[in-house]
Amino acid sequence: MTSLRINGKPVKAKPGITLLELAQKQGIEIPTLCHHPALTPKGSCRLCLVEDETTGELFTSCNTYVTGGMSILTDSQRVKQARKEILELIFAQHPVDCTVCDSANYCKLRRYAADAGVQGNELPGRGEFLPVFDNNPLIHRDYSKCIGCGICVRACREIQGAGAVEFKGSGWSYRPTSSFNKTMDGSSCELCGLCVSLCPVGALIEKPPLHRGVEDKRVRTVCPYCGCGCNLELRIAGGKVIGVRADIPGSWNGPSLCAKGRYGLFFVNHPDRLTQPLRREGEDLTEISWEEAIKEIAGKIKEIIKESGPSAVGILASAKTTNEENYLIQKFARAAIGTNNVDHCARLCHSPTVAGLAGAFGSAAMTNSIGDIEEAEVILVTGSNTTVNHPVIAQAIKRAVLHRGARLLIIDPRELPLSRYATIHLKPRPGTDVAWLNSMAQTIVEESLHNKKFIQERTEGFESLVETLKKYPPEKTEKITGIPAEQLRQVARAYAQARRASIFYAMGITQHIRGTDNVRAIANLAMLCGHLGKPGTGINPLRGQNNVQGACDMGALPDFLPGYQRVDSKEAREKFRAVWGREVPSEPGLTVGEMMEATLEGKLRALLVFGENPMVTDAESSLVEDALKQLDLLVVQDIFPTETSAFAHYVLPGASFAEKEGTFTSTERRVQKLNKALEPPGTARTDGETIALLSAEMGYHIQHQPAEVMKEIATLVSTYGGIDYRRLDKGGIQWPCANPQHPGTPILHVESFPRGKGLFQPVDYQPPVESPDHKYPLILSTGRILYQYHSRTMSKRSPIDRMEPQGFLEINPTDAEKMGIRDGDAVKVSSRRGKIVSRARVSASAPAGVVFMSFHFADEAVNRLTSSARDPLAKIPEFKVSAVRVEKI
Amino acid sequence: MDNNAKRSGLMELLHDATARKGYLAEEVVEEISFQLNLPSSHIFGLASQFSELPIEKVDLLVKVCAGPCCALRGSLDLVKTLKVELSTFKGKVRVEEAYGLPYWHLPIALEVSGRGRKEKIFHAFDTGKITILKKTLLGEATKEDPAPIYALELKNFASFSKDNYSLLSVKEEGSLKHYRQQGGMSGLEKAITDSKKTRRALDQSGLADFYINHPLSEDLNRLLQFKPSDRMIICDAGSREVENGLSGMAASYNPYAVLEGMLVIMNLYGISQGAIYLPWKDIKSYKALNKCLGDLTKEGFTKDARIEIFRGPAHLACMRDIGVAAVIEGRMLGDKAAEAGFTPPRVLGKEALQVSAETLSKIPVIIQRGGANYKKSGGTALITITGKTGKSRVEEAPLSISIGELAQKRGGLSALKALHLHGSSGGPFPPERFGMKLGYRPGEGFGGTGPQVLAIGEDKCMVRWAEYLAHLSGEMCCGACIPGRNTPGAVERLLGDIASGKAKQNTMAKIASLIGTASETALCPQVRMTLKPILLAMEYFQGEFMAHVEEKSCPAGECKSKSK
Repeated sequence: MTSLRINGKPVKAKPGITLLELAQKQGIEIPTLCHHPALTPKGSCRLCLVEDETTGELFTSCNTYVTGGMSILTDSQRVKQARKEILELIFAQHPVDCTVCDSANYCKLRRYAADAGVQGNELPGRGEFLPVFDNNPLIHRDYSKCIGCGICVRACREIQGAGAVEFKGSGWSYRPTSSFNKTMDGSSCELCGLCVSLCPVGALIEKPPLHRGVEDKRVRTVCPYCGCGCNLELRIAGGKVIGVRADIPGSWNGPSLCAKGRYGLFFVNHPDRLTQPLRREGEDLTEISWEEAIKEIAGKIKEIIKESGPSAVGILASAKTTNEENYLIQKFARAAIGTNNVDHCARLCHSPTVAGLAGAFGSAAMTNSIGDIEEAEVILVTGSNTTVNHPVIAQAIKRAVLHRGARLLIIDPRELPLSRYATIHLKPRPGTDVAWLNSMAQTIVEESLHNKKFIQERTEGFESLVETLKKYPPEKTEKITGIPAEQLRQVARAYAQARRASIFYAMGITQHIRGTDNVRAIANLAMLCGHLGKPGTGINPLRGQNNVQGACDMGALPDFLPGYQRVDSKEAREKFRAVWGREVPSEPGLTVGEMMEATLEGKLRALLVFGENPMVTDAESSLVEDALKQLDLLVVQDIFPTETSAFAHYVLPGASFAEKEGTFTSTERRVQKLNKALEPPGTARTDGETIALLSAEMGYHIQHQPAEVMKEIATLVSTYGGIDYRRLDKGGIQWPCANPQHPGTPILHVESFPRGKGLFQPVDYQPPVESPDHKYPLILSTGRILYQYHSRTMSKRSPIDRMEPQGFLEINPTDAEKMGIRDGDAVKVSSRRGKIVSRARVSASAPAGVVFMSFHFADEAVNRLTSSARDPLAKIPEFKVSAVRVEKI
Repeated sequence: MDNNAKRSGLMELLHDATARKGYLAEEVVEEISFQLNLPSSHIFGLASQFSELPIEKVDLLVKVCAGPCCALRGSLDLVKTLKVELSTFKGKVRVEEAYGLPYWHLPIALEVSGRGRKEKIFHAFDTGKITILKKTLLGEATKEDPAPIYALELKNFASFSKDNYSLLSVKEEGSLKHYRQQGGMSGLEKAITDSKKTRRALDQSGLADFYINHPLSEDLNRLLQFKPSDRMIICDAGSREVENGLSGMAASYNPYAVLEGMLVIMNLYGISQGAIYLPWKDIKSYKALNKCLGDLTKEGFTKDARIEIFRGPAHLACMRDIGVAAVIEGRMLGDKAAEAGFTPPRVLGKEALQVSAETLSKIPVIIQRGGANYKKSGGTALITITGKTGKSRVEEAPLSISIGELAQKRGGLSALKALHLHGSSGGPFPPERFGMKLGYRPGEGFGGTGPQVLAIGEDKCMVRWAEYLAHLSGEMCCGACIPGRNTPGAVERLLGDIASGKAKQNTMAKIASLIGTASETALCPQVRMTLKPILLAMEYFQGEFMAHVEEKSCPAGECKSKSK
């Protein structure tokens, strides 16, 4: 410890901390405009000056480290005079328009000027105002107000990793800008809004401003979009969400959010919100009371059970709703109705992860934490457009490359925003993942780069893997995958030889008829090199929705009870029966797709849908439409009318994430608490309340208070055993967390696997169901875009929608030229299952022979083209490979 | 490739791309961004810091030198006039102030380029007579019109000392063989065989780099604190002043001596990495140094020493050593300034010593003829003497003579109000200080040194001159900190108030206070160095300032609407 004096008071400080940090610890405020704890201190504003009495020197406290013997004055007359003059200098080039500035009470400059008695007119002004950039739909830039603190530049460079903003010019004209002063959306900017949120003045402002003045309250909660699980605060005023901020103490994501988290949460205020239960009367939906709705729905369910048995009823739970509600939904299905027909959209994204990793390790989730991404020496990303789908995780990957020297290896058919950070990007043909994964493993074994100790001590089945791999030398698979053999070998060596290497994958791996095999091959690769159980390693499936991990954990699956306890296990069923007081059916239920097929076969008659929109998101949606039309009872609870609710007999208004308590479990297994910020609109209710009402009406009483539900979960699910709301107030806990004293588990499989030894599961390559032919010569791959989410129920009702309000077909310039298609042309896209119309976006991002479309847009419903052919085990449809034809209209 | 390696050499790439098209096109930036995997905003931002890397295509680009010599002749007014006069040009025209143009000998230098034009250099003797210039620029000149005046070769204006330690005392005529015949390279060979003696000679000589005014041995001893692989030497063959290319003269006139000096130092001090920094446009020096480096490599002199040539902009809005480091690393000036602050900047991750080419060129003769003798002679430096004096000259002047003697020799002292010494970091001195030695050291109250003596006549208003110096300070600061970015402008406006009779009683005190605060609080010493000349002007010419404040009059008669 170092001894020094601060404002006359002796203090001890850890060497290596700055004077500013020391002062803050002592409760002394030092003004600063350019400092943020997550950024490299630059000392550019010079406001944080302090004086050393012993030397008489003035220096900036943000980048001066404590030294023994210093005697620091933070507020001496000299310091105050210098600060005052610096503030005067700022105002000499800053408009004094505080009364109309939207930064208003958040402006640090205004506060410091007021504290120092600076009025803003002490020095003659430059009298020259800089141009205002108002051409971005979400960000207003007024560089006359810019004080050149550089927080935006450093944040974009050091946290976001995009480098979309940089200083330009020198002298007084030194200010941030985008490349060639372009609109932010025309640059490498991802519109994460980090720069806006950290700007200490009014130079960068969110638009449109929804509210002037301060908020009534801020409520800490969790983002409802992707699986990253970013912590944020909702700013509430007048009963509305008026803004979002991150940078909350204890949050894992610090100041980071993505475009959706920052600009996509205003849907909560949207006038389209459902506020009253609706009942179908002919073509119309008519408002009814909750009492009527619950009574009638429960009555019909009972009638169907009576006529056709409980297996004639199915429920779609939701990856968007809370753990507690998913738990209640599956409990209602199993205990109140008596069916295992409960599933949700994890079926469409990561069911192969559950199947594949459970087989290899005994549990299926991201093995490592987002926080240790930057520890990796090598990061292999495959089948994941991370920047688009998990933007805040992509930020960590970029930081690892830019600031920690990690090598990024990408194996993905499309050019990705992450590609520019990659050491190498290999582009396999879609649907050939097992082939190249096996070839990587073959190279590693052939060159004896495998981790013999790990394999011997921690795994089983190595010999049978080696036998299978013999069939996959890279030269042979080059013909299948299109990846040059030597390049694949380079990637294999880089992955194997790294001390710490991690794998990140998403739906580019899972959404195939061999998705489970793909996941198994990835598990083989990681075990082969022993890249598990350490920081900066692991297998990291990136979950697509905010609570898809939690919905799976909670047993919203037809074959698993909460905690991945199998329904066909007598012991597990008995455990639940003891708490629920009802028998649990032993036969696995139907998956999402099977429910649709069963409906068409007349076996399933009633479907309850909570927060899902299968009409847009499920494969081969013409079949889905036929099925939904055939149901005797379709009940949809959602926050907005959807393409699915258009067919519903009853539509129930749900509460949004901002209007309820509960927990979400993020992709890194972090259980995090939502706090209620607003009352639901009209008579809208939480899914938990609706379930409780329906269940009660059916004679089975369910406790729906979220905290109480979590207590019940903790008794039945060992990995949640130590989860308690009181522990979640200041950040989440990563499961497994066995008991109230357990700190949580950032890294899985450190000492052993849940199944004991890790199991090598040899897999063989099999081609996709469809291959291009003369009639359908292109491969269609589907996915997401940055500015939309799922079926757009939320994103299209937020400002973020302005960035990309229409769908498009991404097509390679070579293919486009052959077909006479130019950028922006209307095109017809047909497959064996249907046809749709879209707009062409000619881009080299798509490889020749492959076109890409997002699945978000109902009016360009790409799932009319996709096939319902499924992975035999995980039952996931093959969204990533469909043969199509594209024609200019 | 790591990020440092990617950025190093980036500036040369940008200069090259600019030379091909005349400007830095967006698609070129995007391509470089793609190839180097660097954000295009970084490349754009970097380019925007240097006027030599324009990002806009123009049909007529007129750069008017705004360095102290040309400014004294009214070049800033010429910029304003040309902006109006050329407004009839059919096409996109831009007239801008320029710094670092290597045409010190032209009263007002103009560099004219644009789409389809070969770059030409003009000079305007009189801002009032721009008709010929305008006609030429607009392409309206007829055969009857007198021809515009183009630049002349620098050598026509230069004279060198007869002193034994003169820059050209060992003359080079294009080959190593000739250089050897004249007695060159012996220093290096001796240094290799007798390093103790060589070091003693250097220590005894007291050789200081005139541009940074610091004894070389002290700086080299600083390097010795670090391990050999962490040491680097940079020969700065560019200008340390906004208007002159004098250090570059050494590189082009005597490249063997410069490189020999560099290799001696590298050998003596165990430095394995060397770099030479050259302005992109100094083709002559570039060719000379390249050839020389090739010759020395063939001879095996660079076996243990890697020397690379980096080319970049002539004018760096930064402390010179920080700016050179930033350009070599392909980084923003402000980022490097924030990293270095008041300490010598590391370059490419090494502790670096930056020495001017002129200083290095003196090392061979010191070794050859002895350090003690050099010390006795006092040494020489390349100086320009210009302004209200006779013909502008480059003078290799002994450092022991006074500035008054120098001015006297070159045009006389009559009707001189001041001699402004050492450009942006020096200051204007009244006749009572003309006895000051040319080779003075800092510590006399102000900043560094530069190779320029400007003669200021009685008709020049010192308030206006101070206003210009504030303007120049703004151009010399990167802008990365608030005092550096905003103080020069604020001071310039306050001085404008004084000149126009709008000043309050406390205006001068406020200027002094602002400069004091900026000097104490800025990120690096640049703002202090470039604003202190204003304090000198206020101190030495207080009466003239007070006449503006109190009597609202301009003794020099320059400030309009006021008389003497």
